[in-house]
Amino acid sequence: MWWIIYAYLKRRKIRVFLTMLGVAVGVATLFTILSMSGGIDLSINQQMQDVGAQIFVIPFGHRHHKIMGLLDGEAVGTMPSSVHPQVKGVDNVKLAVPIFLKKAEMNQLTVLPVMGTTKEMAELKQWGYIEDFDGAVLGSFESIGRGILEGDVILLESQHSIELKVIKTLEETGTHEDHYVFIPLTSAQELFGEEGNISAIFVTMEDPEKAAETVTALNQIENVDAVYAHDAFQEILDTFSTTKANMILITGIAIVAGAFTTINTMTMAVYERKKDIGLSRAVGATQMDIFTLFMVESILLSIVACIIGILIGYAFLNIYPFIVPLSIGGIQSSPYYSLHNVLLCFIIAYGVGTISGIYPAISAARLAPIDALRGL
Amino acid sequence: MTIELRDVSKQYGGGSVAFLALRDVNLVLNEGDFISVVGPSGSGKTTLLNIMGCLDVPTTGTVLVDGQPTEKLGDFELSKIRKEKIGFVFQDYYLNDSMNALQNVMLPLEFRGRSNKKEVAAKLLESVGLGDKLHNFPTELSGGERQRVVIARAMANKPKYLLTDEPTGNLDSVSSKKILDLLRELNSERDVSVVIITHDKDVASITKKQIKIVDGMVV
Repeated sequence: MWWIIYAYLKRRKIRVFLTMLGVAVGVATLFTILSMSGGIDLSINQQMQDVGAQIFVIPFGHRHHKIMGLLDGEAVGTMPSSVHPQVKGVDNVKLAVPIFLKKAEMNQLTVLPVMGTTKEMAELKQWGYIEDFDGAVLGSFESIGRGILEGDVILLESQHSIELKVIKTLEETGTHEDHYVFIPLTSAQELFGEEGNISAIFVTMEDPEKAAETVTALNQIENVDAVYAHDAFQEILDTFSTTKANMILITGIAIVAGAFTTINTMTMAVYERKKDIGLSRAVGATQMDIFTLFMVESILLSIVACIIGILIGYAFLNIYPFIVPLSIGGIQSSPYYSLHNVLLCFIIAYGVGTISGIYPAISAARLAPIDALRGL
Repeated sequence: MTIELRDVSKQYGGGSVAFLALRDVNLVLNEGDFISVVGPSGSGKTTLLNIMGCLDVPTTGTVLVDGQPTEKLGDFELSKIRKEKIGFVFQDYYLNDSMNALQNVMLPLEFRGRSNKKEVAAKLLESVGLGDKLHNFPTELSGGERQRVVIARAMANKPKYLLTDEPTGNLDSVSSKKILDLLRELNSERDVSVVIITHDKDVASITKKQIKIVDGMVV
């Protein structure tokens, strides 16, 4: 049977190619969106693990905006440092690490997030032992990428300028913190002219089971908002899921358009091949044989289009980040290729092929042999 | 082993535009017969052939293939009869332009589920003198060559009955002679019952029996 289908497809190469392109573009878009969003999902989850904090204590108001700011390396709003001892004093709080986060220029070369913090951050982030946190700790990209080594001095400039010795360079984490510079809190406050203010406090708990009670207790402190980190990330994921769902819906329209192209091509094929159908019936083909031929051809077109679409999507994903970096909420991400996404594309293509083939296949099978031979 | 038509009539259309193509035709095609059906254009020859070959169904009357009435058979059974017992040769060849000669002959073998399609098809084409044109497409063949491909295709499933409609209608005299020799050989050497629809008296003269049809009636 395959050779019969191949003979037909080979004879009408251009039309077959254009038909497949219709479905391939839809599949390419779907594969791209799934791989992009998969990468972003993964990055957000990775971020959740790497941020270390179980609770964020942030200035009151515009919670979502402030959380996104923290992830983007540019905190929004400040609160007085005096909040810190109050947070530390709440039951079940294990670590309360104050931070001041804003972007500054480094070595007059690049603008990057600078996080002012205390020695406890080393414990929170599991950097290893730091005796005196009196210099800069550099994310891997900033150290390896710019050839800055421990012992080197970096210049940071914002409201004021400060020079700090690099006391540690970090291993690559694959998160946005690879682009960070961590410096003592007081140095950051001086750099940004915000003495006495902090952006947020990262909190860990003795007993994570008591998160709800701890968040409630922290929210008793005046003018602060305590957010369970899991909920904050979930909120970002939910926002992103809605966007993703909308994008997939639009992709669905592209795929339906592709399906109509296939239906059109297959219906045309029935009209064009009437005599061939009649001939096949004359030499013994059953209605089921004819039905199967058209169905298999339609499904085959869609499956090959799916393979082309995935390859187009893959190529696009390898070029696109060079044009527009993949990022949401400041979280950089790479496309995530999964067998699940590939299978999903194939299932959809199979569905498109089946639905597109049914009407033409039934029309072809129903033709009376003698009418088909006469081309009626 | 027969194809028998009992009181077969075929009407096209209805009401004021009704046209009776066949009227109460009774006919028997026996094993080994070599029959020609002659008559003017529009006399119902092709309709008769189509009904004999189970490509079309009569309006009234019965067609029996090897004693089996066909009027109540479903698509699967009718297809099985065409596949296993009957070979067709059409005036207009009806070759599939998307397939080469070999593939055109492989087609009936495919629908019969044969495994050695290529070998069988190649042998058939060699037997009709087209061993060197296996991979030529219909457009690359002469009229006579095309008709020989059609005969090879018709013989692919070793049918007992070969129904041919103006097999030499579009051919020159040399090609016509080759085709007729081939049909005669199939009848005499392979014991295939052959029906030739023709309006050419010379063609009809080579058959053992002639049937004349006028206005849908055997006369």
